[in-house]
Amino acid sequence: MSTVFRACVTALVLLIGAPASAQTLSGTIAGQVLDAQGQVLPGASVTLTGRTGSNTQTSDASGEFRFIGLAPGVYNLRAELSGFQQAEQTGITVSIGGTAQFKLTLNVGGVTENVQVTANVVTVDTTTTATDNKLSQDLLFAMPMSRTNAAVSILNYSPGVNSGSAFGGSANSGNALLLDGVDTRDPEGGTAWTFFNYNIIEEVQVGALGQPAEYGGFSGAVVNTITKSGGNRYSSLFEHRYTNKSLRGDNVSADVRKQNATIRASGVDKLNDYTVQLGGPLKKDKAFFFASIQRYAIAQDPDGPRTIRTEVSPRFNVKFTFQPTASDTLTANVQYDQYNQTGRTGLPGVNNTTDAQTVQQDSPEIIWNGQYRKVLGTSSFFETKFTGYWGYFDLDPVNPASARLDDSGKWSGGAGYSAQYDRVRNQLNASLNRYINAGGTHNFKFGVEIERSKIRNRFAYSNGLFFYDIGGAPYLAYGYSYDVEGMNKRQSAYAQDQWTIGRFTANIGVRYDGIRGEGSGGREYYNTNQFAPRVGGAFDLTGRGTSVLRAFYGHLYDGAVFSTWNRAVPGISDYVIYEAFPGNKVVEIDRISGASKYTMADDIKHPRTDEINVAFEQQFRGVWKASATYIQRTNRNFVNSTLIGGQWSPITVNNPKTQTPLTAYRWANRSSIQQRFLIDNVDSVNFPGAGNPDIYRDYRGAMFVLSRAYANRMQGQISYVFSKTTGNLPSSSQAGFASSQFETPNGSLINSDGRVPLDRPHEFKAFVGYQVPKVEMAFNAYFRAISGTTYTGFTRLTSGTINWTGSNDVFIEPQGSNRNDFLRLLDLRVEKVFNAGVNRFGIYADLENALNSGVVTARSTRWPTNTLTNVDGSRVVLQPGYATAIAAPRQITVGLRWSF
Amino acid sequence: MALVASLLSPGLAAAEPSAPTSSVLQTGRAVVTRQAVTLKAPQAPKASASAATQSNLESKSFFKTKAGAATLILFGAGVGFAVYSSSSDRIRGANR
Repeated sequence: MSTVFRACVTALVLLIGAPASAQTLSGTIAGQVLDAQGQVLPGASVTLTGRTGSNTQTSDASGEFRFIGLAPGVYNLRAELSGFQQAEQTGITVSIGGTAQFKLTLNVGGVTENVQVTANVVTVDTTTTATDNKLSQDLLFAMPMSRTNAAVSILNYSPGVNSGSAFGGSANSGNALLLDGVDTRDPEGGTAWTFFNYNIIEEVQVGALGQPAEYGGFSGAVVNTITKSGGNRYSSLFEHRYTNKSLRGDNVSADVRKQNATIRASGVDKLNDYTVQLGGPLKKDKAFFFASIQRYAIAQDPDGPRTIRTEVSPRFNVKFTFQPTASDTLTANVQYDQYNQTGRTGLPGVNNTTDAQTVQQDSPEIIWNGQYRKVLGTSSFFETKFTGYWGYFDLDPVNPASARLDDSGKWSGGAGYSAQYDRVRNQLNASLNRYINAGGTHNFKFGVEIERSKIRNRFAYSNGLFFYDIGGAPYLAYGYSYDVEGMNKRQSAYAQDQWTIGRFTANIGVRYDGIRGEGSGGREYYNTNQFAPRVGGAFDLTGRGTSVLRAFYGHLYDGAVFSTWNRAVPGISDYVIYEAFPGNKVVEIDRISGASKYTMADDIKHPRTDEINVAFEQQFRGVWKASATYIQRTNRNFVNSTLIGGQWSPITVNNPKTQTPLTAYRWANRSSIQQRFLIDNVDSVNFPGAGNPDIYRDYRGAMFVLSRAYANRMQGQISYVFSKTTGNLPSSSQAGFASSQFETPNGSLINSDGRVPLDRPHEFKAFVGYQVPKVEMAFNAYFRAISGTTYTGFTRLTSGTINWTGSNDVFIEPQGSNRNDFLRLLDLRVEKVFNAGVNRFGIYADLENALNSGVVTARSTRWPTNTLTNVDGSRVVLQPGYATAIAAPRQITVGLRWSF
Repeated sequence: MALVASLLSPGLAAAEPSAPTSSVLQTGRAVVTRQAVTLKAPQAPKASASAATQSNLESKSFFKTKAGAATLILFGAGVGFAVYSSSSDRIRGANR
């Protein structure tokens, strides 16, 4: 054993030297065998039976046993000893990273007498500082959740997460999105890149708070999605879902329509989505398969003059699991899908793109994952995996003609551009778990992660030109394209220990991430090295495993993303201005160099969040569990660009809301310096002549969760989060690294401090499900009541006013002065269930936004007004506060399914 | 649905009631288990059955039953149409 252990450690050390994010994909069942008087029983035979076979251990001198490296799923546990009755615990759910603890009591009697243990329904993990939210396959199966794009939508069902922002974290780059451990994010900006079938999910773990060192690449949450596998029993699922526009409501109120005539109750015109799945044994206890095939086709009526937008995607998932021995597991799985889309907007934008001016998208992708797990007795296991994906999306215009904009505001021609975006991501992860008894019980885990992800983005105007006409005649033309590429290189390593002494467990860990960004030719643009300590403790308050008090402090770092440094790389063409003549003839009259104006700071630090949380969790009455958590997160190391050598002078402009003077800033030394920018941390940015704002974003929150495990036909979870997110750098897309918010003082000094747009002071979410006996009708509901996002009035200062190369938008009131309407949305599923032996048939209807709420989710914020130009040249004038978006209307989707 | 149901063997249809599924929601890393109560499953995609039926599902002979045949037919049709869609619905990028 020790030789093998040393060999594994050596292998890990060697791997550190090469290119590896190792996240737990398995769980543990541990416990103790006792007699009726509570005395330990060594030598008892303990058998664990799961989907892929059985494994037997003998209880040690302390009567203890431990099954480690278990795939998530449902298990049965049986203990036998000569002279005693059998004890059995059935239906144990093993979750990702979880430890299920049991005490099996054997009564004196014959072994043929079986005793069914029915107690201990919910346990509290008293050894971890992590507060996770898990969505099991059963919950996903039952609840009315959005299935259109699970990769994007599923995160928002968790407490504390809304619009992609988890506990104040960035909605873009803040979340790690893992599918069987494969990081499926776009390496450019950190948003979801690969999509997957909702029905392939075995379990989703949304980890955010108190995460151990093995989890990296996030400052919001980690979404760890595990897919289904085959077992010894054949299993299958067939499902078809359908909806059309006659099943859609109209939720635009007369008041909203009066404010903004462009708002319509747009939604799904037609959906056909089917899944077929089959899993089972290739060889009993040894080899298994699982296959899932989906095809979905959706047609939507989008906003603006477009009449249709479609998506079609056939998806193929295949997974093989091999168990050559009871302690070796090899898994290989592949997803291929061929997602395409029509009806995307062209250069004319949402309000002006006609069907002939759309682009269509071709985007195939392959995801791969090979994993090996070796269990070494009862105290160690080793995991390694090679994962990644390849994919691209191309955008091609339906009409290849150049786009034309007339001085009247009317668009003609084609979409006006084509683009190609390529991605390849490869990761190698390895980890070793080791339990050691020394001054208590240690659960050590060591791991390394190596990532290489490539990005290439290409864009060009159709025929190389975009025309500006006057009175229908050619006047000017513009030429522009880019071809930029980069590679993220990340090496990470971590070490952590769960050290249990009596009722207290210390969680101690540290994580290292070295992130480099290379452009073409291997030139380095970005290089950061960071160590993230994670420390905390968990205390079993009663010693019965039913209540725990947790505390945690740790540093969290974002994943590697190209967008932090992509403006510094070459590949952007000159911007050429032409005089245009009839027949599309052009003569160059000016040229602006495309050479990058951006350089990287040498000592740049990677975006980071510091977290403190304190939590209390209590199990009661068998199936109930309640928790209360205080969360404090402070964001640091914001990356953005500033003008090198800029001097600023205050000017007074009119605040159009209050009609009072407002101080803005003008570039004072424009004539003496070139416009060049430094990409750096802007936490302590200084604007000479204007000021030096303290840039920050802080989250404070209290989260309360009450959950009821399934029993007596009922299940549910209710949560309430009270929070406050303040700062002057938002967590929404406006916080993008390339936002240019800091290139002048106007975006960061004027009224910028306040409640950020995704601040949600009150968030209530409830999942409740009940199946009525006899009639076998299931009613499942998801209800949320959430504070609206904030919005802030702004006015646009012209380039002439501020002596800048473009206009600036400045807040005319403190950020977050206004808030959109409180959201109250209810989704329902009503299902009639037919059971026939192992077969379960269901006919259901999902009612998204069942109450057909037309709540306003966004409003016009420009002062004094904002004008939209329609495709026919007509104009819509929006007053500040007028609605610009509302919730999606009620949509009823019907489904049929058969599973066993 | 009716077609599929009609293909089921009488033996399957007469099987014992399903067992409950595991619990569904967990906060924290705690593991939730369920009681071995004898209620029908409200949303059990992996419901248990009588020993005879379980045995049937663990053997390739399952595919010789009507339910097994229906499974293969539906699965094959689903795969076939998805493969067809891969070819017929493809929008190939102009530069690939």
